[in-house]
Amino acid sequence: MLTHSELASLLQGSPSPTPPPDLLSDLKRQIMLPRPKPTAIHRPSSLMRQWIRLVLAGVGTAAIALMVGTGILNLGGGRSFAGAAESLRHVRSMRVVQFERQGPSQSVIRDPQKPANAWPNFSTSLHPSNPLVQTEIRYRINASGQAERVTVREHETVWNRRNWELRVDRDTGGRTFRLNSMPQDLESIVAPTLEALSGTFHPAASQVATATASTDPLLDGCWVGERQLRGMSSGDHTPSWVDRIWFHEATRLARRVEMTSDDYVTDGKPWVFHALEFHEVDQAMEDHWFQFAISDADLQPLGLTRAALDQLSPRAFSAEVSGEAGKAISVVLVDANGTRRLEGSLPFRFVHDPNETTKIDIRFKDALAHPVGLKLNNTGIDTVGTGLHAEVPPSGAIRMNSVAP
Amino acid sequence: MESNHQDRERCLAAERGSREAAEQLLEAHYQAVFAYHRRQVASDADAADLTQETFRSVWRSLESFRSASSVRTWIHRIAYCTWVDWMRRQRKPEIRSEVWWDSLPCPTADPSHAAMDAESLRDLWFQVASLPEEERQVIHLHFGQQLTQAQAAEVLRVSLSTLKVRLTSATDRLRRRLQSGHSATVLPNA
Repeated sequence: MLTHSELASLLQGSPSPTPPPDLLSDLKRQIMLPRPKPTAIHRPSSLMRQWIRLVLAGVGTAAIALMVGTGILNLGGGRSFAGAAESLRHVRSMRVVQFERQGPSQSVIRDPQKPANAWPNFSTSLHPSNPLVQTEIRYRINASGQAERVTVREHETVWNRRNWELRVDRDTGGRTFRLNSMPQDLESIVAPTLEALSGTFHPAASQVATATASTDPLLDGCWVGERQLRGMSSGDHTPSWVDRIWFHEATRLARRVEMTSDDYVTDGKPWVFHALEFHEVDQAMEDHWFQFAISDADLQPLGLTRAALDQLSPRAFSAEVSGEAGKAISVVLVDANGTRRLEGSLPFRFVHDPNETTKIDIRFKDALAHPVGLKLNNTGIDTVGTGLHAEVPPSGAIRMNSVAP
Repeated sequence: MESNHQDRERCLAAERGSREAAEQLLEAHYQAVFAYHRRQVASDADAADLTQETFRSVWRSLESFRSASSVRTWIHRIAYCTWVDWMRRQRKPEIRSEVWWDSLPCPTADPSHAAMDAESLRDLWFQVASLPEEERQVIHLHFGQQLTQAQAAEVLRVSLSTLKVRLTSATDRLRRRLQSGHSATVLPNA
């Protein structure tokens, strides 16, 4: 019989599985880093605190893209965006028009010998078969120093102010009110763009920076810079992913950010999968865009009255637990104020005004595994388990995981 | 220690948005993460999926590395959680592929391996695959990934003494099974 040390030696000396050759490049392409925190902004005034709030909220992320021009360095013919975040303090309002492919996930087949969802095959909604859907976002700092935002999508309008979020389906008139303790949720929309931009104009990688004249007033007098990224090779073809930015030389403001690709298509024609345009920077915006009224009926699903809503802090959040209707659950919330216990049946909504980090433990009363979902701030999870755990730190960024069956 | 110091610097830089640091972190650890998953699933494709899922969680969780004793341990903890979630979703026994075992390179010229040919080594890992889940993880993390016992305990969130008990139990079981020629091809925990 082998001794313990012989067995250990054999196990430790066994050959290690080798990753497929394309895995590293795929992993690099999928890097999605958090946005840098706004620590570079010093000694915030009251107004500045609002701006920091905007930065945290992600409104600032759009502004980073908007203001990149002010931080441009000229290095070896390339351009980078160092210092752009400092320019955020100068932006008080703007309108962002976003274009993004939206629709069902489409299969991308890299290896016909493998099933559609087995690597290196995958599915994505950012696909030329899906339409380029437009979203328009207006935001501003109002006279009271509050950040306000209104997002208009094809069928829906969403207003955000403080931690209040009202959605109205313009086709049906349906209204949904919730409390979102992320200061604003624009980040979820523009963060991927900014992530791509963070490397786009690194001096060593820059390829083009030329002044152009355009028939489009938005782009007239702008410089355009672009960077090509190599896609995942398929046979003899290596597709390109091209990020492009237009910024105005006189105002030093970015006007348009565009991401294109010739991947996923057989004719090799580039297609836009994501674009942002920045309009009406620091121009007065009419109040009516940002005005919304909350009715008692809007508050009723959360068990709130208007008086109770007004008592809540901006850190308060609402949560919606979903799953099989009628399943009984218990909810335990723990924060610096102590422990709070709730009981109910699905679908179940609750509101919590936290003191520091809140830990949430949701359990099915029958202790069996069931489908369960949780929507809270900008995060949602749908899974199967005997319950869910979530943690809501003061930043409002949620961590969630299911409880094992 | 130097490597861990560098890794922590990379994590801090990545947390601040440095893609270059994130790529360096990736290059330093992706092979180990792939190997960890590959030893436990039936195909390269599944292991690649799990590796990608692991690093998606790494990027999302960059803030949390500060509480870990080492970045390597922290990444392995994420890989372990990713694998556990994946197994819960699969809900079916994982049939070990003969192709994979055959694809492994032959043992090195290490004298301790000289007496054991590739077939015996394959049988050894078959036996590892048939261990109870908690013992199997100890083997994978301590021997396969070459974490220290303390690091493996941290990944599994168990005490060091618990880990040592599992390790002893696992190696005893492996030795007995290898002696008796016991064979197994199905992971038992799904």
